[in-house]
Amino acid sequence: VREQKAMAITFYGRIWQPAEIAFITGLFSAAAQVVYLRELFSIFTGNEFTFSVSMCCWLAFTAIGCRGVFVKKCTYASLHLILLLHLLLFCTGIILIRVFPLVMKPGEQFSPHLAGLIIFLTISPVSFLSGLLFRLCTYNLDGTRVYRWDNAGNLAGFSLITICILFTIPHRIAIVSMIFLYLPLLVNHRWKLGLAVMVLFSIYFLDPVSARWKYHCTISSIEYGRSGEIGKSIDGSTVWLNNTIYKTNITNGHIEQAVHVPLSIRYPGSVLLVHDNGYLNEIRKYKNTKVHCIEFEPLLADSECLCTTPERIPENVRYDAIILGSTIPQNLSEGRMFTDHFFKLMKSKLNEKGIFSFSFNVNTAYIDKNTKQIIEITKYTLKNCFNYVKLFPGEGVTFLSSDHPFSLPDTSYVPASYYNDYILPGVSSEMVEAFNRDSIKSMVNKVGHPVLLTSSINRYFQMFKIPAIYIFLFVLIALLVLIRLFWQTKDTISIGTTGFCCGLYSIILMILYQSQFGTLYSAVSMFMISMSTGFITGSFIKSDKFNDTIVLVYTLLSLLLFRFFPGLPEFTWYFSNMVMGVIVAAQIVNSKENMTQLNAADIAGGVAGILLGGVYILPFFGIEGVLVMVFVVKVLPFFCVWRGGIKPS
Amino acid sequence: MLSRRTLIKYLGILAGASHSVLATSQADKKTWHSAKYWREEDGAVRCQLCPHGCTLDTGKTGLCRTRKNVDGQLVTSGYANPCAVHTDPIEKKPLYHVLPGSSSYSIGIAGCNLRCKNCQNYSMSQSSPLETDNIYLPPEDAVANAIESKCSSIAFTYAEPVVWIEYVQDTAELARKAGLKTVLVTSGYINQQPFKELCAVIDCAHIDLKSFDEMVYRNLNAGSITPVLKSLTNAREMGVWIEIVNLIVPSWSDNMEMIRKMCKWIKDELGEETPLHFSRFFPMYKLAHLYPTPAEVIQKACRIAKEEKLQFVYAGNVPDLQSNTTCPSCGTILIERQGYKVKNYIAGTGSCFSCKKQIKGIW
Repeated sequence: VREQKAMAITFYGRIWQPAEIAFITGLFSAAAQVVYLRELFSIFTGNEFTFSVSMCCWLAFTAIGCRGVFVKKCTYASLHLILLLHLLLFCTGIILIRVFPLVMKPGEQFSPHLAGLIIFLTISPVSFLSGLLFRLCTYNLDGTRVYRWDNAGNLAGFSLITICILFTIPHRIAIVSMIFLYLPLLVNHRWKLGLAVMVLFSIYFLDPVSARWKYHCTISSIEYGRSGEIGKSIDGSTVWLNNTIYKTNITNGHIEQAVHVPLSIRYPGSVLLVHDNGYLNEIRKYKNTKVHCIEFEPLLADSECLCTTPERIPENVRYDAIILGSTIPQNLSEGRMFTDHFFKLMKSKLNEKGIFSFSFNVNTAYIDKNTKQIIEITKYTLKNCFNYVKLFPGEGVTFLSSDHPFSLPDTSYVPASYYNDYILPGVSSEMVEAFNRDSIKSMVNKVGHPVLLTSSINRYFQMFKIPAIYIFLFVLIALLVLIRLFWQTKDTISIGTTGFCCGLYSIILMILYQSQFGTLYSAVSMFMISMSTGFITGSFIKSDKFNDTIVLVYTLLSLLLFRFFPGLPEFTWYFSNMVMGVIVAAQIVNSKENMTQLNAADIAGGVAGILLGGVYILPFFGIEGVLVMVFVVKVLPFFCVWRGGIKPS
Repeated sequence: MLSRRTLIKYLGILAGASHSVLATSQADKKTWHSAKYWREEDGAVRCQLCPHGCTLDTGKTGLCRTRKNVDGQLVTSGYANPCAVHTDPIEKKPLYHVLPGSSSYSIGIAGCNLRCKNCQNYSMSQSSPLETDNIYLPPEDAVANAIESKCSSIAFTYAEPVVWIEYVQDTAELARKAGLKTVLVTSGYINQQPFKELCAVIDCAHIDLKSFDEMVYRNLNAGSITPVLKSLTNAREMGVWIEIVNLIVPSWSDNMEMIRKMCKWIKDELGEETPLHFSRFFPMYKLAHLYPTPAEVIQKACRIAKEEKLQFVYAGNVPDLQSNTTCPSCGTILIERQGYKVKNYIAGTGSCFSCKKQIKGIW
């Protein structure tokens, strides 16, 4: 009776059904998750490591909330309070994310410790309440139905955010819509409703101001593009992408070197510039040279830069030089332009004597081990695609590759003060020789095995003096705690390992997608929509055929498909994710165990999969390593049954 | 059955053990050298090299990551093991009044006693010599290599040479005997007794005056301004030729009033003929999100320094801005520079072509 009373939330006399509450809270939670991820993505400068950690934090605390570890019972009053808290904490979290850059010193990066703390402080309360609300809904309704309605809500939430992304609608509209949809649940409680309405108006007016807090200087506009948040300075001279400077009109030695070294080898008739990055002004110095500049991000394209991808450049168009406006890769979206796949694509757009070039902005006086590794992997990957590869060290390292022999230039065709007067006199022949010396055989950076990502992650940790072993141990302990808490019976182990495969599969798919397309910032909600659609569809299936074997076979086969055919169209990626959702949900709803236990086991497994897959297995061992991991984990339920040492469900 | 508590305990032990194994294997790779400037204090070792004054128990390493207490003795891991050795134009240091157009044999060992968030060489300065890839270069070899490379000077640079002071002193002494000039590129964050002893073997120094504000020094560099100012005045008193470099970091050290105060201090304490280089910041290390210093800011700072009657003010890292040396009396261009290239300069006597005014420096 008390449980029934607990769910008795009315709306002008009508009692809200638990399924409806599950739908609305599911919608709110899903949309909140994506808004958080996007906000965090922008303050952590598009670093996918923090992306994986944020996802894990969300899922882990949802699982804890689902288990109701801390709150066993809920009264009528406290349910309303939880709903209100859910809303308030979400808004506070958004503001907190934006406040943190204010307390940092101007222009300072977040350390991994601080990033972890921010993620924990902002995400965990909201995700915990999301899980708790799911549990409360199952008090008075069949768990399968709650599961279905919660996923339907998720689908609606992800769809809402996707619409905002597609039409580059600011976050404040999305947030206000989410709050607005939540209000009917609080309508019979005046002060709570009043508070929620106040929050709604406050966030609407505070959002444009607080979004600017993320930047250390005055920003005139903030836009939400496909590859990230784009900020522009008042005079338009400086553009930020995910809070890092994308381009300024201030030239420097690195840019001059990156442009004039390749273009001084042979006077170019035509140049393709992939990403402006401030390079275009320098290239314009070459008179009578035809310049094509392309940007992958529509909001960065302007009258001088076309928004397209190299794949879409017509077959018959060839260039004398292709310059990649990039710097040392620090995350996947940057790293994807340094794979053998991308290099071969560039090669196909070059003339017979054409030069392909890019530069890493590093200090060449001393190159540390991780940076050296990044340089070696890149050099080796280039050598795998081109006949001649040379490096020029000065203000950073410029990589030059061609299928035709060439020599390094000793001057430029056009005036370039930094390059001619500062860089060239400061570079000795010994230094050039040292950088071009053949070193030990390195590994090729591939889409399916982004070895460069490992070095980039190590370099990031090294900058803050964090030994990789501590991170590994932290992950290990977190996983053991989750497994101990949530995987206790045969069914929960079975569903937990399925959740593991699902989490691993999903994150690998997203990482591979980012390596391929680089627009995960906008595609993340599409991945979640596809997964939710799968969950809903799967929850209608009444068949016990969807077991561990099906999960194992599907995961292995479809990952192999993406391993061997990385260029599959976008639709395939979402579809595969959806099918995974169907299989997982079908297995969950056909299990005998209590739904909250199963849901928690599934989510905990998902956390483990995301943490291990995104942070360790893929970067270190490639897709092959992921396949082995999936196999080993999915064999666990069979092993448990064989041993017979696990509690029956 | 393993309990959770036992499991966590074992994992903790495992973490500690793996860390020790890593540390030991790294320690095996190097040789320690006895360090100077320390005393025993309550069973520990008190390093007296820099103002941090680290008190080190046995096995502990100082803030500089080079000096360590091994069995009650202070030793250094930064001796004869540079990780960066290059032949650079002297203008790259930058030193504009020291043998213009010459090359300097430049040596850098890892380690630094500051924590500048904008460090351009952070992979060296914020590491211990145990962590970097080094070569073995004893003082006599360093001097021989400098002569072989036709360098006129030997520079201790890239990271912070005062934290490997023993190597600097030994090498500089030999270099001077071999007729080479000795160059120190430092932040000047050092106690005055060791610094005076160091100055005895140094001919010229580039000293960073990172800002003229204690709070900026604390927050940006994890240091303090007072020891740096003392180093500047002491170097001048000891007859070391000094050139000051002020890196202007947007939002941190671009306050023009502060720059004016700094220029006044330089003029009053060091003399108006002290060269001052304003250098441009480019995003790096922990300040990778900050925008580069606009050229106008550098120009403005140069103008203020001129207004404060400093005679030799240079704009570093900005092409087409003041990098020529002109005679303060008659305005004749004495050294014409284009980046690191020197076109025309006063050799030998160091006096102006037209008015014969003596220009201070090492010519």
